[in-house]
Amino acid sequence: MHEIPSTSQCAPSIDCGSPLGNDRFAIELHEVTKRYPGGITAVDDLDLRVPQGAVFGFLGPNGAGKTTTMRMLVGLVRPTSGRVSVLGQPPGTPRQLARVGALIESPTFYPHLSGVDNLRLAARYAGVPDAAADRALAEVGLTGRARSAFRTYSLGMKQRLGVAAALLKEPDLLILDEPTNGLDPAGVAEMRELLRSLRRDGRTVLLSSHVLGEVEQVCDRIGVINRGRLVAEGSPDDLRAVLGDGSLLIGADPVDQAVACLRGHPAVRAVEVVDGRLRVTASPTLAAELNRRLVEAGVDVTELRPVRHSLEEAFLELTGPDQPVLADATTTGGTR
Amino acid sequence: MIASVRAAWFADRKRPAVWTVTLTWTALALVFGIGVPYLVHLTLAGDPEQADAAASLLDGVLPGQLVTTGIGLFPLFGGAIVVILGALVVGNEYRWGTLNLIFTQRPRRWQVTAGHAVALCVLTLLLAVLTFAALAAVTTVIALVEGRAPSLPSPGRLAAAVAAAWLICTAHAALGFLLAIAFRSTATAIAVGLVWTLVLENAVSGLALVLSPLTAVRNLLLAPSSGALAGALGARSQFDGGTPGVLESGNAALPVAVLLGYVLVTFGLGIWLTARRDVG
Ligand SMILES: Nc1ncnc2c1ncn2[C@@H]1O[C@H](COP(=O)(O)OP(=O)(O)OP(=O)(O)O)[C@@H](O)[C@H]1O
Ligand SMILES: [Mg+2]
Repeated sequence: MHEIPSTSQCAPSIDCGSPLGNDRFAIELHEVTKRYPGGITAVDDLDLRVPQGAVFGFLGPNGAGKTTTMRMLVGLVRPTSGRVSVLGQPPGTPRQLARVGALIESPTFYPHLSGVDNLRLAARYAGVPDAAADRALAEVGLTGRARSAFRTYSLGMKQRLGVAAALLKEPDLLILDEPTNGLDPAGVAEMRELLRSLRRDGRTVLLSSHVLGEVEQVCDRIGVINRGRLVAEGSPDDLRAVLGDGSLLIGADPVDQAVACLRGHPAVRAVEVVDGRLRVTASPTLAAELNRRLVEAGVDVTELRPVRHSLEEAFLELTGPDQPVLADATTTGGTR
Repeated sequence: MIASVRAAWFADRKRPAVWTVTLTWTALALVFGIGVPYLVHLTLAGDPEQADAAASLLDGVLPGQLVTTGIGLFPLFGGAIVVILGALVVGNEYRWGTLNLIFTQRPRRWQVTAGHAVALCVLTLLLAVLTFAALAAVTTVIALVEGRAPSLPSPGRLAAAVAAAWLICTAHAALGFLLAIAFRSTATAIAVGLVWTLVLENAVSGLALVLSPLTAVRNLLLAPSSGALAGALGARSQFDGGTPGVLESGNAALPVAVLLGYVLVTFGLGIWLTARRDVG
C-alpha cells in the first residue's frame, strides 16, 4: 500500500457538500479473496471501504479484479474467503438487493423484448411499479426508443438501458462497471451530470472506469486495485502525490545564474535545463519563495508555473509491471 | 416468490420461441394424431376388404376416443418437444447473460429459479389443455362430417387425461430445465435431453423386453413411465397398433409416482444449482 498523505478529500472541480457519515461505510470488504475454479486468484486478500455518500472510483488494469469484486457485492459471485458487507447486509439478500442498483460488465437484457419491457420485467422482480421503468428511461434519454427491441439498440443505447436498469429501484448504492463504455460525448457528459446529481441526493456510487479524466472529474475517492489487491486509496490529489510533490517550470535569465541560485535552496531536490527553461523538482507551494530568491539574486523570471502529475501518471506508476503488490492493504487515505 | 413467478411468466409469454414450440407441437399432434389416420381411413374406405381397418381408424379420430388418442401422443413425441421447451426457458438466460439482471433485482436466487419452474409448469398445463382442446375441436368436426354423434368422453376422464398429459410434459420439461442449468446452455441441454429420452431410455426399455432384470430400471425411467401412464389410461401400445412410446400398463400409480419424483428432483436440483453456483 502506498503511503498516501491525506491532503484533500474532494476532486478539485466538485463541491464537498454531501453528507458523509464518519463511521458509516456503504461497502466494506475485509480480507476478501476470490479464487475461480481453475486456479485464477481474481481478488487477493482485498480490504476496501467505501464511505456512505461517496462517489468512489475503482481503478485497475485489465484483469485486476474490479468486475469480480463488483459481482461479489451483489452476490453473483461468492468470495472464497473473507467478509463482505454492503449497506450493512450480506450481499445477495432481498434487503440488500432492494437498495442496490448495478450495471456489471456489459448490459444484459432479453434481446426480443423492448427496452421498456426489459425494465418492466426487472421492476416486477424488484417489486417496484411499472412507472419506475418509464422514469428510468427518461432519465437516460431513451424514451424515444423505449418500444424498440433491445437487439436493435446501438452500443451506447444498450449501455444507457443498463444504467436505467441500475437506477430503477432508486437505490442507495449504485455499482457501475465502466458505465461510459460506448457512450458518445454527450452521453459521457450526461453520465457525469447524473453522478453528480446522485451524489447530491446522498447516494453512494462505486464506479469503475478506464477513462481516468472522467474519474478525476467526478470521484471524491479513488481505489486502485492491481492483481486483486488494493495498491492505493485516497482522493485524486492523494494519488497524484504518490509521485512526489510535482515540479515547477521556470523561465529565467540568465539561466546559469538561476541554476546556481536554486541549487542552493534546501527544499529543491533537482534542477534541470529543458529547452532553455528550468525544471525544478520541488513542491509547487515553493513557487513564491523561489521567485523572490531569484529576483533578489538579480535574475529575471519570465515564466513560473507548477507542473502537476496527472492521475494517469500516478495510475501507471501504481500498476506498472515492476510495481510490487504490497502486502499491507489497509486504507490509509483520508480520514473521514 | 410471487414477484418471481409473475416476472418469469412475463418473460416466457413474450418469448417467441415458447409459442413457436407450443404451436408446432399442437400442429404436429393434430397432423399425426388425427390427420394421418383419417387420411388413411379415407384411402381404405372404398375397399371392402379393408372395411374393418377403416372403421377402426375412423373410431380413433372421433371424439369418443379423444382420451386414448390424445394421451398416446405425449410419451414420445410430446415429451421430446417439451424437453426443448424446458431447456429454452432457462437456457437462454445463460446465453443472454440475463441472470446478471434478474439475480440482482431483489428476490433470492433460488426464488428466481423457482419462479421460472412455476412459470414452466403453467406453460406445460397450457400446452396440455391446448392439445386436448384442439383435438376435441377437430374430432368433433370429423364426427359431424362423417355423420356420427359428436359425443366427448366424460369430463372426469378428460380431466384425468389432461392431468396425465400435464404430468408427462412437466417431468420432461423439468429435465430440459435441469440440463440447461447444468450445462449453462440451451443447445447442449436439448441435444443431451433428446438423446437421453429418445435414444437411451428407449434402448433400455426395448432391452427390458428380453432382459427381465432391466424391467425394474425401466420402471424408473422418464419416457417409459410416461408410456406406462398413457397405457394405463387406455392408449394402445405400438405392438397393439397404437402410438410409439406407449407401454401396456394396468396401473397408473407407479408411473405417476415416478413422474412426480422426476418433477420434484429435477426442479429441486436445478434450483439448488443456480442458488449455489457463481454467475459470471
Ligand atoms: N468466470 C471466471 N472464471 C475464471 N476466471 C475468471 C472469471 N471471471 C474473471 N476471471 C479472471 O479473474 C481475473 C479478474 O477479472 P475481472 O473481470 O474481475 O477483471 P477487471 O478488473 O474487471 O478487468 P477489466 O478492466 O478488463 O474489465 C482475470 O484474470 C479473469 O481472467
Ligand atoms: Mg471488468
